[in-house]
Amino acid sequence: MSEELIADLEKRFPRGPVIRGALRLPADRFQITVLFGPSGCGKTTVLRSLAGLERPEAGRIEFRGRAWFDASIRSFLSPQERDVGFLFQDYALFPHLTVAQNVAYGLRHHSLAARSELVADILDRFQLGELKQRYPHQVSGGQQQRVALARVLVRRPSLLLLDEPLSALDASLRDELRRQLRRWLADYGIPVIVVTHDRIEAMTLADQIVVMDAGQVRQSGSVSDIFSRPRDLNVAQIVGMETVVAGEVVAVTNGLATVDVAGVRLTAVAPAPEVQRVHVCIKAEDVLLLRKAQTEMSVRNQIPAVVQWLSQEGPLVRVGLNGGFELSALVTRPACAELQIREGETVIVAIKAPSLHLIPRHEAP
Amino acid sequence: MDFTAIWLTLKLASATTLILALIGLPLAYWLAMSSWRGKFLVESVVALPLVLPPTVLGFYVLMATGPNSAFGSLYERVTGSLLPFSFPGILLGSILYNLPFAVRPFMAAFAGMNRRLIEASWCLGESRWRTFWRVTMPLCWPGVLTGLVLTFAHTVGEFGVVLMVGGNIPGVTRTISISIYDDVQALNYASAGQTALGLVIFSLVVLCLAHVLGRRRLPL
Repeated sequence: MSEELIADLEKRFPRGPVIRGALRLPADRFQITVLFGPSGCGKTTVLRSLAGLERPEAGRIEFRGRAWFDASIRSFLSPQERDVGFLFQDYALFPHLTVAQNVAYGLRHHSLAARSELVADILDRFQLGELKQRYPHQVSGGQQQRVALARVLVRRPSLLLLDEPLSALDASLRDELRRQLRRWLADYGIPVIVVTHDRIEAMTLADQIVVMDAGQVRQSGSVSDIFSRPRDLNVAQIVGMETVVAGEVVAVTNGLATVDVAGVRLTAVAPAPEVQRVHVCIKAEDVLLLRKAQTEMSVRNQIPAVVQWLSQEGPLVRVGLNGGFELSALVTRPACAELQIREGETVIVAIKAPSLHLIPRHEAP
Repeated sequence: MDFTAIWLTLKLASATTLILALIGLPLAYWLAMSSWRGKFLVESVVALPLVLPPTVLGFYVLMATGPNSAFGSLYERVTGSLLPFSFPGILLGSILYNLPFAVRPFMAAFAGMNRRLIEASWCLGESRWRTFWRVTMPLCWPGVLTGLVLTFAHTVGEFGVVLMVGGNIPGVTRTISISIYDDVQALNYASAGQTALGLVIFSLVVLCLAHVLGRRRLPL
């Protein structure tokens, strides 16, 4: 029996778009798959179909060898029969129940003693013990998110589905939770599917990314596959980050990190202390090109690189470079002419330290 | 005051309210949640008594339940009695006539609910039936109660349908409003005035109650 989640489905809305989703992921271990794409691209519909909250018109969903949905024989398991945990974007906490009652909601089949032990354990784990008598409207947004997560995880589902889990939080909290979320979920050893339109969130959480646009899956693969080798311009525009390379933090001094990327040393703003393996992300518009190295300049990173290719984009030119790793730059056409940038020439690539985005990296084992 | 009529009216109103709770709640839930395209037809039929004269509705109930009708003769064969001019007859008329007063507030309450809460409960393993009692009802009870109170009050004041279907039999079909009509016909203004005033006070109290209950909501 295959320990996999295999989904291939088609959902039509009256007077709306057709959503086609295709997914395949291991179902026997912890792995985060991110459904990534702009708002309205159909990723939430795919997630809801996996949970049994939408019934697709065509296709099949199979989980660990068991058919959850099969249009050809009109079989459809209800959400109750699927044993999934679903975290709603607005958390959907029951307003008439306390934090503890919310968490205990799905444990009706446990004995009273088992139930209170499970609830106490998970409230502790999510630092909610103090709040257990409060009602959802009496706790903060971040606490609501933890209650919703605890309510789902306490049942030990076999698949966890998160719909924009961080979008309801303010920016500073989002940064913090992005890092914590993965750690919280790892212990449960179950596959997780996260829907998000936030690029940083996708990169931070994902082992595997599925890019969707206009109701279609455009590309799926590992984080570095998707971000550094987008299949086409459409995916490149969606992911919006031209250069993504694997790097390793080798030293941190005064809040600045020295990052090793394919033997090249770069200076960047240091990530969280425990982070060592990172994706180094650079937007093409943040890359400056110089004819020769400058000493009287604030830019920390200056690397010699060979021009690989040039491509015209209206008034701009996209320049593909290799300076030990591949990256691209976006410059104006007159600048390109003045600097006499041509294929095969060596130029100096200059990138300000704050323009290097370091995102924690977890490659799938 | 005609205490037989008061007792009969309370009996009719209680029975109508109870039965409409049983029929109206599932119907309203279905109307609020369904995405079926033809449901406006059902909604219109439910709302019909709001605009139809009670005599028209009463006339059709009379026709449909008479001994010559299919339903009426079936009822007679099963129970051995006739529907028109009986308590079950006015109960049936009163249920049909009050349908919108129960179903519409129920529906408004259900439709105003966050669907995600229901779906969250399903995903937490609870059946639709248990979800209804654990989530939907606790959050919708102000609207449901408003519907029940309105139905009760409206049945107490009902006249046209009862007169058409039930006539005027003391202790069987003569409700408060019909007893007022009788008193006036008999030029017994003092008695009619007493009963009428009682009905006004009762209705006012009930409407105040409905408003207060309708306002009690959980802080969301």
